[in-house]
Amino acid sequence: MKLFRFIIPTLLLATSSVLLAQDKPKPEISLDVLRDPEVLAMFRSLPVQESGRIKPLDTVARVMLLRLSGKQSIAVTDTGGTSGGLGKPAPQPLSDLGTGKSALDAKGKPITLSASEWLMVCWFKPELAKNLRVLVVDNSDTVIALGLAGKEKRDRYSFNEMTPAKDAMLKQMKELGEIPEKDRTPDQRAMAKLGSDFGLLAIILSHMDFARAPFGDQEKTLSAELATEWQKSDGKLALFLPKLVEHLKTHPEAGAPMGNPWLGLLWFRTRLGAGMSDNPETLLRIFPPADRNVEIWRGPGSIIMSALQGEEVTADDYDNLSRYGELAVTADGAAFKTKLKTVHDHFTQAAAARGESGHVTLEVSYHKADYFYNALIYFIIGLLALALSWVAPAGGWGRWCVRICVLFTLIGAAYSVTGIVIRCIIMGRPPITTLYETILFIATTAVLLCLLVEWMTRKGLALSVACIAGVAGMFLSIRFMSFEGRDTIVQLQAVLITNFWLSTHVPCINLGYAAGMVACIFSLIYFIQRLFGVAKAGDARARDLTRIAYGFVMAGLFLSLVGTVLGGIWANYAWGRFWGWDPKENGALMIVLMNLVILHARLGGYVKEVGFHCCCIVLGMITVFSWFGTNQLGVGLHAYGFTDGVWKWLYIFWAAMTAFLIFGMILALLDKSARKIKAAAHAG
Amino acid sequence: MATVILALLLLITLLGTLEQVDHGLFKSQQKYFESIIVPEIDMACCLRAMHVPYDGAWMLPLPLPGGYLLMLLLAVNMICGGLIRLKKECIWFGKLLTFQFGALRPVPHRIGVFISHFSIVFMLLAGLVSLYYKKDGAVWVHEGQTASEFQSFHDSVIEIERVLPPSKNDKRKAMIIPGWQFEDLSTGKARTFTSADLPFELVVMNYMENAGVRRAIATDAKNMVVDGFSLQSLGARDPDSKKPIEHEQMLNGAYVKVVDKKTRQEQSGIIWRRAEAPYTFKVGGEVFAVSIGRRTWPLPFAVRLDKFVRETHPGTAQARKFASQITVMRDGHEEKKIITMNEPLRSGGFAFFQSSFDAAAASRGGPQASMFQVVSNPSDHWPLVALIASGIGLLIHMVWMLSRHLARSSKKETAPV
Repeated sequence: MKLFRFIIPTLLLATSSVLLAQDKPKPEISLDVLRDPEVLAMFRSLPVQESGRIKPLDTVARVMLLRLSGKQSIAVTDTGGTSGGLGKPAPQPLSDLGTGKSALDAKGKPITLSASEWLMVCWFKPELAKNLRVLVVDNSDTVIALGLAGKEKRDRYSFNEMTPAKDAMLKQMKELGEIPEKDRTPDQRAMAKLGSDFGLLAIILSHMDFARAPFGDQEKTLSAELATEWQKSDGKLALFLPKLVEHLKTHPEAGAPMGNPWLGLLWFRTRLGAGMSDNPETLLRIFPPADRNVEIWRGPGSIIMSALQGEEVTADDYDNLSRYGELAVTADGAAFKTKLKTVHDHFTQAAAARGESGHVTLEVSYHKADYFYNALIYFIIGLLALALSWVAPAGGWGRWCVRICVLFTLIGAAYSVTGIVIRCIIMGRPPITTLYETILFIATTAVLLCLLVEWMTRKGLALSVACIAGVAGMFLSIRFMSFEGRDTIVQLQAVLITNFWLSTHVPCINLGYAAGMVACIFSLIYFIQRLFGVAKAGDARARDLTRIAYGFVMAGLFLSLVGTVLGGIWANYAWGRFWGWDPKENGALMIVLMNLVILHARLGGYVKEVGFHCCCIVLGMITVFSWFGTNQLGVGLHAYGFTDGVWKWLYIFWAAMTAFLIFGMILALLDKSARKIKAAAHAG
Repeated sequence: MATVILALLLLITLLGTLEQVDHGLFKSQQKYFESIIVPEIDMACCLRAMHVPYDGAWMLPLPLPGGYLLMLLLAVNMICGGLIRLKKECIWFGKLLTFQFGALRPVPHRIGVFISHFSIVFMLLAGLVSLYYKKDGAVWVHEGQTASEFQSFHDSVIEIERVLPPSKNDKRKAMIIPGWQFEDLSTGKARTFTSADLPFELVVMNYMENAGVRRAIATDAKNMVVDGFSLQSLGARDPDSKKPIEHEQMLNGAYVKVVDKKTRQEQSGIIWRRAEAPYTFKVGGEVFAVSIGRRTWPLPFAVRLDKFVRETHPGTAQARKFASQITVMRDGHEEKKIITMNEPLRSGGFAFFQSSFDAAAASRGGPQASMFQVVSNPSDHWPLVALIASGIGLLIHMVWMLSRHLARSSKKETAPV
């Protein structure tokens, strides 16, 4: 964890701005201005260069809030939520420190901030932001170990609540720094996460300090000469920095942070906060350079760093820094809006002049539309409608429920397809490049395939599988995103930058996964129907299920065979070897082999109906192993998505499937004896 | 039969994947996929790979057929099964190949199955051919330098060269011992190699797959010390990360003893892959050098690296592009080419792939270096042919099944009740 290098000075300095605020209370912008739709629209669509691509500031805000709190919005209340639990009092709104009034919306209800609004509050109203409960703690033991009073088992804590435990956290983080990440216990991992999240929050909160008070409470330690210059610069760092650079050239002794507390504070807190990160690769880069030959964008942190390190800083850079810093020292609403418009227009035009506008507006609307969450809602309604149809399947009621279900499932599918298409446009790439995207793609294609089969068969079976696959897939995608806590649209490494293979091999393999999972769900439905006696061995319903599942096994064989061999051919053309027994390759091969086993066992008559469905469940287990499990082995070329905590879910899935398998074996025995009795009766 | 073979293949694929976590790719590939028999299963490793906390050792002595045997059986099964069960299809295909177009009707209905089975046999054959005839290795080239040979990844050799007197035709290599003749000589084992042209016998002993040379210490056995140095086995795991060391990174070494054929005089030496110079000795007025290393193959042309370019996504260390600008030199002709990710150079039966670069030089600046993986594989494009054929076969079969299904259901609908 790179954060450890810088986390310690950050923690040390985290509270000094609190002291400062008490010394000199400054007028603050009101919450209503920050929540103004125009202000919000301009703020969230500011272009940023991060992780090698141009994205809106909204994406950065969402990823940060998701990482800290596990959600993409936060309520301005004393609990961080808008509703109390059972038997608990309703959450009370926090007071807006600028106006002294409670933070309530026009209807008098507590306010919920979107990620961008939260980021604005952190930057422009840090004292209020310090009371927001953003830091999520999964187990209250972590907080108790720091000497604080724990709340609920899983709860959220504000920056101010955590500040008293700063020293204890610092001590813990020092000790944890000695232990390699993979050797840590779950408790230690939770502690490390809380410590680094607290550090990140401290950095975010001090982002605008460079414009407000770059030297914090150490301003009086400036030498007389520099103090005069600081006065002349009218308290603006952008004007002071060039003079400081000149001064340091003639007075190298002033450049030693140990003897000059103001410099230490400027370097360790102000610069870190201005950069919004301790990692040079994830600095906030928000100023598109005027010089087109410069590829890397600038940001407030990188300008301060370059100036202090004696590197070249252009007049344009200082202008940008000054323009941007103005935002933080403006308390008047109308003036703030005008200044934000200047900043927004200037940077947007500068990015456009470089041909680097990206798809900023599209990405903002992509986040706003929340396609996959909406798809989940529609799939759930579809599933409920279908469940209601079972009350009276034959009558008009049942028919209408099924129609409603089809409609809602179609709307859900339309939402997720739109979401995937927009992601492709933003990336300029075929749909699947990360593990997260495989979930979206597989769930969506599974729904579409099932709807197609339903259209062909009209038995209601494939429709139910479509809803189940949609609900499970969308839920999984949302969980997985908060699990990873990072931007889901990422740049690719060099070997993957080839649209031909990304649009052939990868979708083919993933369609193979989808077919395997769908076959598995059909078999699960078969066993559930047998359990409740809805279907009997060999009756029409059971035969339908078997036939459709068999169709998916056949399609799965075709897709995974072609996909796997295409992968081999890609490997042969990219690396010079067709097959390398890499875990992900082997996983794909295992799916092909299982499909072949099912096919041949059925053709050879080794498995009957129940046996076939047991095999499909094994196919599902193998598919999940190669989909998620092979990435977790930590070896091989395709290890593109190690995610902490996946094993637990894998084992839960496998255990559930094993239970079905055992049930299947019992059924097979029962069927066999039933057949014997029948045969004996016939003979008799 | 086919079902059993496929199921066993599935099982060894799973086990062979899991064992990579502790034993590395090369070892598990040899044990599971290129073997006739898998003698035992390292259950402890498999459990750990699946994140089941298990600290002890657990070798399950359950012999399983190896991948080589299974794939061979599968091919035989498909050929025999195809000839017996798909007789009509075989005859039809025979007619097609002998241009008896008039006799092609009716088309037997399982022709798709027939095509896909035989294309899989062809794909297995491609694997067999590349197992025996594929040469793969790598070569490092610095900017401005030229390479005309490449070094194998895995094949070890011991080379004996005649240094003095210099030969007329510049041929120095006097004898090459391939790896399979000495790689089994673990501690305490020895084998004598001899050749009619050489005035001595060479005894190779105590071969170590991954070793280091260090100064001898008091506890070393006397016969294991040569000129105050001894060879120490380093094991197959990295001591820090505990992960298996990839086979291509291992430094093998061995002790050698030279016995003069006339005088029976003995001299001892150490050979090691990373050694700065070969072990040199004098027998009967001639000077010889022995070295151990990876086998090198000559190229029918030379490649000069003109420039290596690496680009990253702006503001990150993540690579966006690797490209080597090279000049291919053959029979006095020069040709400029670019090798980049997904775009290798193919020339004269050899393919050059952009494989690695000198990371230290890339961050330091100055002359860069680039590594190419070099492959020569007679069955290079066979899998593509097999894929197209099997895809067509499966599609034909699926279309046929679907049309039969639809025909049946429409018949059902029109049938009188």
